[in-house]
Amino acid sequence: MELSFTGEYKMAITIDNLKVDYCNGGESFTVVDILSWHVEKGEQVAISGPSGSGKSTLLHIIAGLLQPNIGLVRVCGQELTQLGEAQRDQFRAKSIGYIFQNFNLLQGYTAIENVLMGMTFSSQKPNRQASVDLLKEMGLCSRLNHYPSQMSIGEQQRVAIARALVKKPDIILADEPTGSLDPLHTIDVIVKLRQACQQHGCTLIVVSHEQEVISSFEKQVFFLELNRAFDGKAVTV
Amino acid sequence: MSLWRIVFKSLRQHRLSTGLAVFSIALGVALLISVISLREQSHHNFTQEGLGIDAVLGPKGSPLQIVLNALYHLEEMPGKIKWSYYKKVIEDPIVSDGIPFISGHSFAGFRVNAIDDRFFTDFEFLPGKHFSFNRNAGGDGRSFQSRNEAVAGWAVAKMLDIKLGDTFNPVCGVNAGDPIHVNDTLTFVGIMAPTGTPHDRAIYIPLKTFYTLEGHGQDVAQMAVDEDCREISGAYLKIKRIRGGALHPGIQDLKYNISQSSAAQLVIPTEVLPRLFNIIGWVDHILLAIAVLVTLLATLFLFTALISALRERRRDIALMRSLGAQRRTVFGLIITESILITLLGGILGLCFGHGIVAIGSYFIKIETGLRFSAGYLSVADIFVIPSMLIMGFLAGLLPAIQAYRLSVLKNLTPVS
Repeated sequence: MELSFTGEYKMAITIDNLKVDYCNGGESFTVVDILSWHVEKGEQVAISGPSGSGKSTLLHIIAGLLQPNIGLVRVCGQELTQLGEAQRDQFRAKSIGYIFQNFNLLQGYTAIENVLMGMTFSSQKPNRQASVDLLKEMGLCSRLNHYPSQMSIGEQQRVAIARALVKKPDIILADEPTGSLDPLHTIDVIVKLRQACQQHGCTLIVVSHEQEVISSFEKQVFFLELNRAFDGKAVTV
Repeated sequence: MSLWRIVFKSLRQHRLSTGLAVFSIALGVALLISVISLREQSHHNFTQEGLGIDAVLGPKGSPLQIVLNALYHLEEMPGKIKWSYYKKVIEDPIVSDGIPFISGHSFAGFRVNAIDDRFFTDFEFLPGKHFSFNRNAGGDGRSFQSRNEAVAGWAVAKMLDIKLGDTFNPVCGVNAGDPIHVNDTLTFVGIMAPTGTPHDRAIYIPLKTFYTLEGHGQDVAQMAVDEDCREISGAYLKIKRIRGGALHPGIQDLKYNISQSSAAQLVIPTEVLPRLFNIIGWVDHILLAIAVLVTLLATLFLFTALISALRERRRDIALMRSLGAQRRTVFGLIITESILITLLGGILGLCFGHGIVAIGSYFIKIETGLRFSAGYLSVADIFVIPSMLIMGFLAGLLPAIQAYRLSVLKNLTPVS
């Protein structure tokens, strides 16, 4: 079934009664347990919390990389729990831009090729000019044909941001995007990411444990050790 | 970026293992192509054509030995036959012609055959084809007309750099150390145009010259003038054809009748040569087995190369999946890579294989006189590309399944 994501929606992310359990040696334990959580279209949200609290798992679920045990996950108007794996891949290719902490770039590909790769699987016609423009926006105009090994970690992260943005996704998920950067580059990358998302109208979810990153967001969500999510203002626990 | 570009990028990224896989597959395919091509062509040469000779009248002994001597200028004739018996045989109604010859002499490793001069005009070395001395065809000069003249086959002339007017002294025998007819100097007056048959590898002298060579003794010299005591090694016989070009069925009766006598036997090359081929057939079976083994090993090498490349690429594949690549897409990428490698190896192997046949046929032509064509399309040529596609698919199947089942999260789990 070919998916169509053209429908209008107000909420970028709607999560209700979400529960993710892991089984380890016959013992089951809950990683994520969210009663209700909503992110509006175009919002920028920072998620923080201790290691193992389920922040990355939540991003995986939103990206369609992981299926929850129970609960409703609607992303960009699409009920993810009702989609098969191939359809979630399609959805991710079109609607989600993902930025990781490490291993973000394909090592055998230049910066421009890595960015073009972002469009390859989304059935969009590769737009080289758009890719070049984005890299220029990220301050990487002299690095277009450089391989990841020839770039600093900060530059690599900026390429990853460009790659996430190039296909004009609805949501950008950034999992510890500044985890490998020094404080100076951390702010630089986050500012660039937020500006770009604003410019392109993307919803942004950033997972981070760095205080300077978290504090730069108006909307913040804290994952408790109890694996329950809330934010100070809007999230029902 | 297209999926093709991703495939080519990956092949380039692993160019050493890709190159080795392509080379090893090409090697296996080249061996297969060349072995099968040479096998089929030699089979054709040996069994189908019979080198234009319907039958050989020869002495009692091994029919195979007679064929090898009369057609391929190898071995030695097991004896002699009487001229009078030969004359009797060619008068049989189904025999249309006969060309007598005497073998047993040599020069510089090449056989020197004494032969009737009609050999150059009436004999068909292949159906409908006569010898030529035409310069445009690669020959020179003319056939012999007197006692001290000789004609060289094309390969002999090439190997010994013989030119018209050159002289030689024939060796009385075909083995090293045999005596030389030092007082019998013969002059080359003709070089035959290449025929692609073993006749290119012999030197021909007039039949009567043999009897008069110094050192053959009085008895042999007497044969030159006295037909009753004259002996020959054998004779090429032309048998009448029936409608459709088949040999006259009476040849079997003739063969039986001759074999009943104590004087000679009639050997039909197309009956004997398949037996020779069966005897030596195990050699090409072994060669074929080696070629198949090399190809299979090359495919196994490709399989291990893909598996090890996949280990290096787990993160890349996981990253592609996170970018939205579907499982079937990464499966397809690995299978395509594998098929491209085997296809490239197959195409190169085809070229190498025909190259080997081209080089080999040059030497085979000089060594045996047999003509092989590099352009010959064997059954292997037809099946090599489809086979390579299947082998590529099979070699890539397990790595592709591994890529298909690869866990994105396990290979891309960020540090939280």
